[in-house]
Amino acid sequence: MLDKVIRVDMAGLTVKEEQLAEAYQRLSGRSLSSRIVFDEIPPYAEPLGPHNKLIVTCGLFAGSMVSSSGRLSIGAKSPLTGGIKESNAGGISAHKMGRLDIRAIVVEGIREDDKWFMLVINKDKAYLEEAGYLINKGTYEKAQLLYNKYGKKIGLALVGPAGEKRLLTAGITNNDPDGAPSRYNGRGGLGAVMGSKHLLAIVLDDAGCRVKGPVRKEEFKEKVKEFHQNLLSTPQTAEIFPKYGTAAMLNVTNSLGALPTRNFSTGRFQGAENINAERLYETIKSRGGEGSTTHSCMPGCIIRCSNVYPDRDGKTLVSPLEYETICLLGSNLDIDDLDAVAKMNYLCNDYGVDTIEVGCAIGVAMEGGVIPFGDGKEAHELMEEVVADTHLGRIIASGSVITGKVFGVRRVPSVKGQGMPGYEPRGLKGTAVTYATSPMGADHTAGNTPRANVKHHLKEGQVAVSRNAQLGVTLVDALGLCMMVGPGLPDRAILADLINARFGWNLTLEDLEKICRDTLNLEKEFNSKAGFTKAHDRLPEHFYEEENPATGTVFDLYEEDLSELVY
Amino acid sequence: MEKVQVEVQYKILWSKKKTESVEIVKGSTVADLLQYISFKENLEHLLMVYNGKIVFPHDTITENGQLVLISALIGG
Repeated sequence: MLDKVIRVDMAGLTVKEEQLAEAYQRLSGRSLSSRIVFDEIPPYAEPLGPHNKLIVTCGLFAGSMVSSSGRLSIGAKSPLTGGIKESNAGGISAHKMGRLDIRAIVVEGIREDDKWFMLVINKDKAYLEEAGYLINKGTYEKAQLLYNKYGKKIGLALVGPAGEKRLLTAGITNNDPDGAPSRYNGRGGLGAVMGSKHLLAIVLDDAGCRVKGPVRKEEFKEKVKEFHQNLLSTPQTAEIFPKYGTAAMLNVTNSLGALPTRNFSTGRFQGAENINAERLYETIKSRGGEGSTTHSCMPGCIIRCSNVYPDRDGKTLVSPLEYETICLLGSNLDIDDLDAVAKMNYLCNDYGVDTIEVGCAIGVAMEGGVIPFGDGKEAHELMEEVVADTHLGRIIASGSVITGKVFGVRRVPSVKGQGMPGYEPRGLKGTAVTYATSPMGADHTAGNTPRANVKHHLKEGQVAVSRNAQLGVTLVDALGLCMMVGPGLPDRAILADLINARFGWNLTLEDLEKICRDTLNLEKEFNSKAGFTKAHDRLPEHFYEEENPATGTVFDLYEEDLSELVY
Repeated sequence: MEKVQVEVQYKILWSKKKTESVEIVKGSTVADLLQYISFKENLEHLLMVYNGKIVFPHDTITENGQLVLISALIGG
């Protein structure tokens, strides 16, 4: 079950089907993508060059009825960080991979001619098809053209114009059950890697596929029931996220003084009540029409934390509108207008860029005086420059670090070249430890700590909570599960039980935890071989020296503190 | 005994109560305050923030201020 690998050579235009190697049998999601990156990509490879590969993987529950198990992991050497990258997203692509019995797709080689392709996989074969007619089109139009050709039920992973241009903020987007191509493998510039290969889309057509049943059917059904019951009896996964979505985080971070505001200069936003979860909920409800306060991004998800945000006439403006975007394109820019954020979000989605990295870059540009903080109209015009591919737009689309260098800004909120997500590091120091030490760079999905039982603005205990969070999230990433299930997992041993029932194996939780530690260690080793040292495990200087006014604290965990963090 | 004024803000998304003001003895713990307002939610799923900084049940309250009770969440 799930034992096929599709290997694609974009230079030679060949597609082969392989059996999953014995050494990879227990790996999936992030643990598999990172392992293949480690085994097959030279650490010194130029990220946009011929030796880098794009690794697409699903989790061990892909194609099954397990809630929230359809995350698609994509790995490569990142052009943004220069290190190993795994970025995962919801949508239906991983579910389709599971139904097609495919554990991984490995895309090798680059093209430097004017030919562009898509990879089509159906139950009978996998093949490359010319796709020049898709070039320069936004992701929504690309998706529609592909639905016209292959039907509305296909799974898609595709790049927008940003990926074609190999821009550092380019992501890879997946379609949701309603056909919207807006679930992003956003971080790390992986869309640029796909673009460098002249691969515009992966089409996953599972028509006629039958998923192989679990080896121990009754046991699997019982364990799935128990897993779902846990999700349905935990406030976050049963009540809060289904009603308010991830935007519910905003009150938490703002209360903690950890909501990035005005280019991360403070952690509390005066306009928070205009962009928080309650406002989002009320706006969607009052506008009606196509709007929906709850929505699932993948088949069978019972958390349903996504949404559809409508305009004043009830027409869809964007779906989803999520916490990270509301923060990075909202409070971080001093903009307290959900419509302004939603419109920029749509432009990002259609052009194919990461809203976090672009939000950081615009914040840096604002600090550099390019446009004023708080001006939603000018921010939108700047996003239009990105889409129009003007020189200024290209600078923004090259991410926060390059934007800082061009405009002479020294306060750039990034680690290892990657912009910080929606958690201010002096107000939430556990997550900041993750930013500093994770092989992924500044990335909340690598180990977020706001639920931890510590005083988040103080130094004590932060290394331990970051380590626990990094290991915990690696476990769900390694199984293709959404990290939202975390609070609904009182006993993680159920994950081993589910795997064993589906595959007929005999794994323990300790086995899974070892896979996670091994994954993190080999990711670190890859980065080390690529030239990373302890000097890269730092936040930008100003976070050590300037207080977050909301908490009155600086970031005060140094190399000797962080060296305690081993997996 | 000297007293302090505390405004309690309920940012618990399923709570009907929004705010209340109470007066407690200076030096009381956060746990004392929660008992005083008959707060019975499971603290495992909550964060408590006093004057902008996170507090635990054993922490003492020594100045006027605002206690925010908020659902503990992760994700985004």
